[in-house]
Amino acid sequence: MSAVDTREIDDQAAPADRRDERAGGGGAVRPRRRPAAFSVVSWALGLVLLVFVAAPLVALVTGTSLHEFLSTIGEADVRQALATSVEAAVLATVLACIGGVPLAYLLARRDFPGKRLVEGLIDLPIVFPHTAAGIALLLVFGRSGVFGRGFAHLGVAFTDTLAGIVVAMMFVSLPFLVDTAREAFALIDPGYEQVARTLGATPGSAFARVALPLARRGVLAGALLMWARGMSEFGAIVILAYNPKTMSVLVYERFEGLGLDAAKPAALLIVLLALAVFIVVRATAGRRGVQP
Amino acid sequence: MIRADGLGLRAGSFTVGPIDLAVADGEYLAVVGPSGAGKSLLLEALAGLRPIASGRVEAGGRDVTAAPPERRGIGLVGQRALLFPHLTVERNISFGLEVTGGGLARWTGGRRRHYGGVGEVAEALGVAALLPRRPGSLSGGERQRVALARALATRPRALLLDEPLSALDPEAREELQAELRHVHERFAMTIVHVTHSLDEALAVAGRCVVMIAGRIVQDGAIDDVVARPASAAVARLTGARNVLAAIAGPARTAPATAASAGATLAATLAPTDGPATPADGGCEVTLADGLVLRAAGVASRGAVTVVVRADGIVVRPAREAAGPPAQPAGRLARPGGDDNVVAARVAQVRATATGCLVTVDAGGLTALVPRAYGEDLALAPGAAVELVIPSAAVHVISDHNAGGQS
Repeated sequence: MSAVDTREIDDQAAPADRRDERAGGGGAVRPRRRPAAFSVVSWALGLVLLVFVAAPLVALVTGTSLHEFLSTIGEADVRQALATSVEAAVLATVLACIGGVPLAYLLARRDFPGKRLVEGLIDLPIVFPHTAAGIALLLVFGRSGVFGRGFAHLGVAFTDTLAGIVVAMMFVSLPFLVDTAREAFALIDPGYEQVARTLGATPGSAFARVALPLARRGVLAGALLMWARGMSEFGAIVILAYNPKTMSVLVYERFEGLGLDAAKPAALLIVLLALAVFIVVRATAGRRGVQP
Repeated sequence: MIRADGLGLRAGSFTVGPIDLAVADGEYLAVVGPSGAGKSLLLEALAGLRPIASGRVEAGGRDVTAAPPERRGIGLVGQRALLFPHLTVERNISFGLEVTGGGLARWTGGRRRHYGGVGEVAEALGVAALLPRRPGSLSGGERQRVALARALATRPRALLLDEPLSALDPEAREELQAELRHVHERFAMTIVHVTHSLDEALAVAGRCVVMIAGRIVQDGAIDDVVARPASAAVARLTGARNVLAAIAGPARTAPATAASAGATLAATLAPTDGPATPADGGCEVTLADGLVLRAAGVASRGAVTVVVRADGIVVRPAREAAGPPAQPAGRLARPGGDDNVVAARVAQVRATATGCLVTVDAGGLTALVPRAYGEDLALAPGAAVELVIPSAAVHVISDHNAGGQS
């Protein structure tokens, strides 16, 4: 019934609109029906970019046969490299969370002198060429570096060890954790923590019992992003710890030594893994909405 | 007992204080003021959530000026309930008990421990049925009840309420006002309740302090603040419609004539024969347009502010409505016992939810006429009426001691 009414009103209103437009002397008969030139151009340019992003991915998937892919997964050094990548990325993420999540909370909640500097420092690895990052890390964590010598007393070396891979991954992917977590904390109303304080919670307790649970999706998304970024790191790792081989190093080595066809299945494996994490991150961050 | 001595704080360019305030054990105090008066800042300072610039805060006889919020034992409930969305209602209410002591003993025999205090406050606030639910599924009124229960469960020394009802619809607001009184009595709770609404203050508290522009400008029984505001600003805050500049002089015993040269008005109060004559201590005030009103009480002289509440004025039909006006403009104040009787014509009528606001040409006075009477009086611009203003309803504030006028 109401639908009929609406249609009637629309029918009456539409010709009047057109009359008005003509009376306005715009010249165009139906100026609203044709998509604006800007939209057309934007879409066209955007599509070019989308194809640019999607095409290599599609080529990688279609260019690798299932048989090739499965047999590559079965190879011992591939499995070893995958395990190294996963293990190092997990370690790097866990270690970074211990310091990075409270830091992200402080950055979201407190104002202090030099805050901008700290934020800049955290983001610095994003603009660092990663091979340069590897060189810089080598200077500090190498056998004669400050940290390298210090940790040597504890029996931990960083050149060509898992610890070196962890350090390299952590350095380049830390911003992803801290920035995402900071954003998540900033979205939480500080009033929750204030209420918690008036109920008897210490600042630490308010963080652990209120802020962290409320920001957990964002923090988790940050951790996953960091993990995925660590998994895909190559430049810094190859300088600091070429061995044990990670997946990205393995792909590079196979390409250099055996050619494109040998590198393809291993590359596909790491891309699929990254894609899976990416989907989880999107789903996690997408459900962040928390009712007050 | 909550006590603030010389409390001062800064928020940007806005300064609050110095504030001296004492709330006795078991007292229900309302802090009333317009938005931006610094009421919330005061509560945050008392709760320890905002650093103070000067002064000291005492709670329960202990100096807590340097104590963090968690060591003050002062609960705070704001306009937004801020229930922890990741916890059930029950865990929200027991939160304070869990973080203070009960935390480690939370798991006993594999079952979550139940806190005795939770049931009692939940039942007192009528939220016992909501305990297993999540805050997201509660109505606004339910959320505020749970927030109150959560604050009360820790048995604080005092409870600070910052506009706790202003986000609720009128019905829920009235219910919760009654609930707050009930909670106050049942738990003998010391409560400081910040509100911009004097009606709300009247509904819950006995005493109120009025805060304007960061300072306390009046402190007393709410009825007293309404009847005798300390300044024009307080008068406006209390909803007094007629806040007028005037000149005060001694009360005359004979019927007054026009107060000043050129005035077409004459106002008087009859020297009635009864002992009710407010000859002792009263004064006469002359409004800007020459209208003279008799005020009981204070014998002020010189420039004053006159406050007459709209609901303190009775409007009745003019007796001489049929005949020609006795005086030019027909605005002769005439004898009427202890009352000022002002003849006037209606200038404007405005309907409100509570009645008609009738503004007349004499003195620019506005009276509130209950709806039921409004129709009988056939009020319309130009209609001749009489205003009856008891001299006790004319409150005079000497301008030299009324600080904080705005």
